[in-house]
Amino acid sequence: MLVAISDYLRSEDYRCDTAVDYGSAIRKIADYQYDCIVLDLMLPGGDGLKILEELRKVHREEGVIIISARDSIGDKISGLKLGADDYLAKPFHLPELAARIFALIRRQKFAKSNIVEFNEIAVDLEKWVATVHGKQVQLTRKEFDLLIYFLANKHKLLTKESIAEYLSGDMADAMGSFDFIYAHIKNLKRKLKLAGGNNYLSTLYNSGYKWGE
Amino acid sequence: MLDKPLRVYTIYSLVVLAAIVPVYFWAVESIWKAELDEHNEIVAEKFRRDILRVKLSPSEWDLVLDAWNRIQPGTYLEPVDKKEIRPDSTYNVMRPSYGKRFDDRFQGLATYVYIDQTPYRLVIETNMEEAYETFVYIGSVSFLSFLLLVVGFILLNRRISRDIWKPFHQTLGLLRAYRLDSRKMPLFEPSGIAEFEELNQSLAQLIERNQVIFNEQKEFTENASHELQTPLAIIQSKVDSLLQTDGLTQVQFDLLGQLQNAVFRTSKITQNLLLLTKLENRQFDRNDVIDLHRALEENVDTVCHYSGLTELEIRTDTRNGGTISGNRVLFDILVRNLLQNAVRYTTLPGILVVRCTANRLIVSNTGAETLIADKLFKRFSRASSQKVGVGVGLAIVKRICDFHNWRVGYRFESGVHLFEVEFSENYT
Repeated sequence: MLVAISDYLRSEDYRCDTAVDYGSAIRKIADYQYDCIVLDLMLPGGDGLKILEELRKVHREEGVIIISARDSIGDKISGLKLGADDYLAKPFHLPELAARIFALIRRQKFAKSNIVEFNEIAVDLEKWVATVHGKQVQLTRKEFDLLIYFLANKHKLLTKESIAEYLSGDMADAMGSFDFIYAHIKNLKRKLKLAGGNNYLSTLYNSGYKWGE
Repeated sequence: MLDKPLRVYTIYSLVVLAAIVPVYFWAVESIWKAELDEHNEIVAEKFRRDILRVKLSPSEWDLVLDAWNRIQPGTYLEPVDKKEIRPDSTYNVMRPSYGKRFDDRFQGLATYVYIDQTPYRLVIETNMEEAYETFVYIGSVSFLSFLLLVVGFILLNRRISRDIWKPFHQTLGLLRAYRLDSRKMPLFEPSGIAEFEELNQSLAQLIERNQVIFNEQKEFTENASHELQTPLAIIQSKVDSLLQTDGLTQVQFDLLGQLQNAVFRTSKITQNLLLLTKLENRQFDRNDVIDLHRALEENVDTVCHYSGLTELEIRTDTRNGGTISGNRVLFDILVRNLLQNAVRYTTLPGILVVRCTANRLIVSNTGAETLIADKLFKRFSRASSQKVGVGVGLAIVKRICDFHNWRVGYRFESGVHLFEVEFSENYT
């Protein structure tokens, strides 16, 4: 799974370092500074939470996303309490992880920039504002999240299932149909078009989406 | 509990005090009367002896006796006829006393003496009051000292009880504050009292055993979750990778989509089953304070956001919600499951209503036909002919209610499904 994740992220232009166990993780963290750390709690050789504790003890500024298969409720609470920035329960979709990393890195206080630009579209992740040609576009929270999702997974084929799970979060427990995501996607496209933007979202294979030129 | 012995002591003291006073006075009076009788008897005896030494003529006797009767306080001699002679008798009488305004009490002795072979009745009366008053003072002093003793005893007892029960209250406090997942064993301070030491020891052992069991169960569910979800995660990541391969056909795309769906559902079922297990093992606290109005608003907000169903009208009326205590996370799960269930079984266009009173939640939605009530809250049963859900949502609702001692019920009335949860405060 490490390979799958790192390959996917590299294809989104991230530079990835990997560690397969507790020992190598500690060493890598000690030697290098990262923008974001994806931490699996069930690391062989040690408890992932301890790494988190160590990081926070020395006031490291990396954003940390915890992934875990253990137990969503308990781990989420203790992870966030210990200072993790986000929590993702296994199994998850790779695009979702990409979207969370994307948002996290640019939300950091010491990030190089909080703003993401894609041609005429700009998204400020700190202020939650999206603009087209400099003019602000009024997006709902869901539409905003959707835009981030697409920007974080450029040129990737995305299924309605993965989008639905991303948008529903914890609620994804069998929302009967996928109608709601169609509505959100439609609205997003319309608003971007109205503001004078190009359409970068194409529909493939009937129910798949891809953002790109 | 401090009050009980104190109350008993106080009542006992009061009863004894109340009884003692009359008894005291009665005893004192009897003793004093006896003493006076003795005193009178001695005087009479002295008189009998000494009178034999005095030789006077009858006329001289008359003068002497007359003077005697008039001068000598407390005695009186009068001649009587022989046949009036009776055995000695004692009596008690109220008489005006010399120099005093009110009558006094006298203890008297009537005896018969012979003066020159003439029988006389000799009456000796001794004033009780003077000594009586003294006795009242002595009695008061005794009474006061006794009262002082009793009060002091009660106060001291209370202080001592408090000190003795301090370790008990400390233990009680520690027990109350103890949380099963706190990872900290309560530390009982050593007290000087053997019984509490034993109690603390037993409690510590009990808690430790409980802690061990709890940890084992927690580890089990965590490991089970890990073991089950990890392979699913691997499948998911492979599917995601496959999606990005070149030359994907429509058929392949559709299959991959179905795979994603199946993985997702399996994962959710696993999560739910584990939640049920944890509920059965009581691995949760119930100490959060939940503001019904706010909590419900938040949850309905979340559902509304995600449903995006334009044909579903959602109404809320939660202003009257009070506060309840329970586990906040479980509460959210309960509400969301009820809401999701309602959304799923609403025939569109339809209305979903979330209403609450001070301690009751009612979720209702318009629907076509009734759900089978007794199958409703069991795991995996098909409660409706219409749709297949994940199967455990309502079982979880039921378990969460059982865990909190809340009641949940369902009925179908005039085209409306009604789910009611009554939040009560009684935990066993």
